[in-house]
Amino acid sequence: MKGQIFLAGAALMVVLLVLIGSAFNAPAEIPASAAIAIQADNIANEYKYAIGLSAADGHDDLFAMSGYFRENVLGFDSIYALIVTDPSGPYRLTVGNFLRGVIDVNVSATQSSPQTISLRLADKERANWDFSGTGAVRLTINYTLQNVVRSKTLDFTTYSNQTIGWSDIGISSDDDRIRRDGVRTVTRQ
Amino acid sequence: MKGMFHTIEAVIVLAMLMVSVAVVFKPIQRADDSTLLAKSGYSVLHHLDDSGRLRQAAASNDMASIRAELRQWLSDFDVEICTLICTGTTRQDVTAVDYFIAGYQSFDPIRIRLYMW
Repeated sequence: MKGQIFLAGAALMVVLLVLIGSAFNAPAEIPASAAIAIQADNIANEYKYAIGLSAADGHDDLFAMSGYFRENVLGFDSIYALIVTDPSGPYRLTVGNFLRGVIDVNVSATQSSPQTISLRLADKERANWDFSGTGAVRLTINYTLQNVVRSKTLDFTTYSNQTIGWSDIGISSDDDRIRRDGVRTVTRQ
Repeated sequence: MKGMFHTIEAVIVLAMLMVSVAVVFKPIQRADDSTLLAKSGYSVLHHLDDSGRLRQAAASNDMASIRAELRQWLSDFDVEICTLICTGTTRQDVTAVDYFIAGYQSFDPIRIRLYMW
């Protein structure tokens, strides 16, 4: 009978240990996608920095940067738009596609001519359009990739000397996908 | 005979206790350690970048400055600026974080790789 009491006591201790352990050893609440999330944050910030560089040097640095990240970051894709306004002339829109597929782009712009534009962009391809506009413009970019339609609206005024950049980046891993969307407006000197 | 049963029962009790202790108090999984380390490494690099102490140093390949800045926050680390490829570290069991910089004043992308252990 003594032995059975020892066994029962041991079983009770096991139950107690499990209860104590579950209370103190709870798993850390860190998403499995943390690694690609911090990388996406870093890259999204650098897109904003590159919009500033584009405003300063007058080039579309986002195109080269998108190509760089596609080469160097596994599972990376992006789409971006760059608008350069000029009070004395038309404003220019550039759209770059690095989404790993062909996209159909439809642009509509208020207070502008032309009012709409449609184009198909291959992967790693960009296109420029010049619009003559007056005053406050609301420009909407709709793009379709594999039957999924996404949209982005950008507001600006044609009387300004600005560079407006938008990027939507994504990083995909085996079981997760992180996206970051950002806009930056830079007033040129 | 009775003594032998008691011995067997005592061994079973000990085994149950040892297994339960090992299961309950197992060390936190390495993946979680690595994730935490990666997050802290990224935070340090991002902080240095935000405060203007990383971008220019990286663009001019000033590794001494970067190491000195990192040493204020991290104890066990190595760092490199990767050109075409990252050469890596000789240490085993490290957590690596890549931090990208688009350039400094002009577009010239840089990859900084931080190793921590």
